[in-house]
Amino acid sequence: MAAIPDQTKLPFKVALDVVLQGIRIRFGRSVVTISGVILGVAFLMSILSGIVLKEGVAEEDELRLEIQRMQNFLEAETGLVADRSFAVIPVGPLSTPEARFLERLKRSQASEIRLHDPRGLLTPAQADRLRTLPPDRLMEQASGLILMGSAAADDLDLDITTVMTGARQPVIALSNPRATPPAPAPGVSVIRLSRELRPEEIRAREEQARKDRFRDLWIIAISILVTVIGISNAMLMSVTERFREIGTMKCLGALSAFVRRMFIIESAIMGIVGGLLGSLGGFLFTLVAYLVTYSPGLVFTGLGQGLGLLAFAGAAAVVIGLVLSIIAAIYPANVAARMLPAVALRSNV
Amino acid sequence: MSDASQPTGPSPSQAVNRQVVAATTVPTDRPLTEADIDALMAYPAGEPPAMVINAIDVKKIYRQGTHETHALRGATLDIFKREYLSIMGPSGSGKSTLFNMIGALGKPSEGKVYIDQVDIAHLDTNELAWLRCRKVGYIFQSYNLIQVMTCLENVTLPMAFAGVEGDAARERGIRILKLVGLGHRILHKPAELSGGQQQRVAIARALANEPEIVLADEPTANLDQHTGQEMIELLARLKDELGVTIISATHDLKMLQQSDRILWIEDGRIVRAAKPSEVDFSSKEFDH
Repeated sequence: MAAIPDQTKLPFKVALDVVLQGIRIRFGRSVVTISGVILGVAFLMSILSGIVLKEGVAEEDELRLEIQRMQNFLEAETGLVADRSFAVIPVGPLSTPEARFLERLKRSQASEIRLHDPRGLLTPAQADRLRTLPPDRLMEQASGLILMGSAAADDLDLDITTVMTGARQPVIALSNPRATPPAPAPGVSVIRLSRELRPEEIRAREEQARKDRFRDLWIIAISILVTVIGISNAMLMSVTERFREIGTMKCLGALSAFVRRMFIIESAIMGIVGGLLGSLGGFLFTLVAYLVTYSPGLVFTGLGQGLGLLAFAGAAAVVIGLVLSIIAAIYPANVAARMLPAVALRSNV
Repeated sequence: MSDASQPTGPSPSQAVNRQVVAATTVPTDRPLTEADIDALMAYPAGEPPAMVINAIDVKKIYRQGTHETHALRGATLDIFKREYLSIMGPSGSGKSTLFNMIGALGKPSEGKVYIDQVDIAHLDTNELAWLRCRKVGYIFQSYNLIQVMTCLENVTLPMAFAGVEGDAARERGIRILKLVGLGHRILHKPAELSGGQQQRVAIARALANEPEIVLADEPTANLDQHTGQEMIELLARLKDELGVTIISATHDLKMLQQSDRILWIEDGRIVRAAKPSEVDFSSKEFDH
C-alpha cells in the first residue's frame, strides 16, 4: 500500500488571511456578529461604569452636603455670611471638606476673610485673597473666628481674649470634627461646624453600604451572564450558517485543525473589536445618562475620582469580551471541524 | 432494470490479488477509444487494467439512535484510469453514499475502498484530507463555490491546502481558469456569474491540484440544457486533455451517452452495468 503523507499544515498567516478576507467581504454579516459582542460588552461596561460613577458622584454629593452644612451651622450662629467679615486661624492641616469650605467662603459674599497663619499651614493657593492680620487686629468688627484643622487651638499660644478684642460677634467655630476646643473665655461662644454621626447612623450607613455592594455584585454577575449569552449566540450563528462552506473546504483538503483555527481567529478578532467598541459605547452611554440626571460638574468631578477604576473596568470588559468570544466559538468550531465533509455539505442551515 | 446482472467487479479475493498486479493495458498517451473500453469491460478474462478505485463489498450503515439505515448493502465496483463513469440511481438508492465512499468523504462500515491502491479505512482524518486535496476533485450540483472569494481565489484555495501559494498558485489558477474558458472572469465573485460560469469555476477548482479523479454530483442538474451540454463537452475535453477519471452521478441523457460506462444502483446494490451503446435511451426509464 502506498504511504499517504500527512496533509500540509498551513501556517497561521494563511488562516489569518482567509479570516480577514472573510470578515472584509462578509462585512454586513460580520457587523451583525460584532454587534452581538458589542451589545454584550457595552451592557457589562455600562453597568461597571455606572457603579464607578455612582460611587464618585455620591462621594462628591456627600462632600457638597457637608460643606453646605458647615455654612448653615456658621450662619445659624452669626447670621448670613454676606457683608460680614470672618477670620481664619489654621491650627492643623486642612481636611478636604475644610479646604473646600474655605474656597466656598472666599467665593461667598462675605466682605472680608482674614487670616492669621503663624505655622504657615495654608498653601499659597489657599491663602490667596485672604487678608493677613496680626492676632490683636484679626477680629476687628468680624463676626466669627474659624479654627481649622484638627490640632488643639491652645497649642498656638494664642490669648483668646486678645484675639477676640473688637469682635462684632464673639463666636469661635471649629470646622474640624476632631478639633479640641480652646479654653473657655468669658462671653465667647464656641460652636462646631461638623456634625457627629450617631452610632445608629453609622450602623445604618454600613448596612446600606453592604447592601449596595451585594447589589452591585449581583448586577455585575447578571450582566456577565447576558454578555455570555449574547456573544455565544452571535458566534454560534456565524459558525452554523457556514457549515456548507466548511464542508466544501474540507472536500478541498482543509484539515480540521485549520477549520478550528480559522473560527477561533475570527472570533478573537470580533471579540477584540467588539470589546473595544462595546466598552467605549457602554461608558459613553452611562456618562450621558449621568450627565442628564446630575449636574455636569458633579459628574465630571466624580469621573475624575474614579478614572483609574474606570480604566480598569474598561480593560476588564475588553478582556471579558475577548475571552468569552473565544470560549463561545470553541464549541461550534469543534463541531464544524469534526464534521464529515459530506454531512457538512448536506446541511442547509 | 430487470436486467439485474451481477456487479461487474470481481469477488473480494480476486480484488485483493489485484493489488499486487500494477500492470496496465490502458494507453496513457492518447484518449481512450471504443476498443480500449471494450478491452476494459472484458476484464477479468483479460489482463488486469490499471484501476484507480476498487470498492469491494462496501456496506454503509447510518445509525440514528436505535434506528439503522442500510445505505449500501454490499457494492462492488472497479473504476479504471481515464474512464468516464456515470452512476444512475433514484434518490435514496445509496448513490450519494457510494459517491462519498469513493471520494474519500466517508469511510465504509464494512468492506474496502481502495483509492489508487490505498485502503481509505486505514487513513486517519489527516491522511484523508491529503487524499481529498490531491487525488480527488469534487464538482457539486449547486457549485458550492465560496461566495466571498473571487474565481481565482476559489481555484487557488485547494492549492493553498496543498501548500502551493503565491505566484505559483496564481499562475496555475489562471491557467486552469483559461482552460475552462473563464480567463476573462478571474477576479469576479461567483454571485456575478451565470450558473454555467459558476460550474466552470467549480470544475477549475476541482482540477486545481491535478487530481486523478474528478467526482461530479449531478453537475448539470441546475443548468439549462444548452449550458449543461457545454459542461458535458468541457468535462469530456478535460478528460481527454488531462487524462483524469471522471465519475458522475447523473440522470442527464447527454451525459450518460457521453460516458464510457453506466452503473445502475438500487437499494444499496449495483444492479446493472452497461456501455452506452448497449442501452436503449428511448426507453421509459429515461423519461423525465
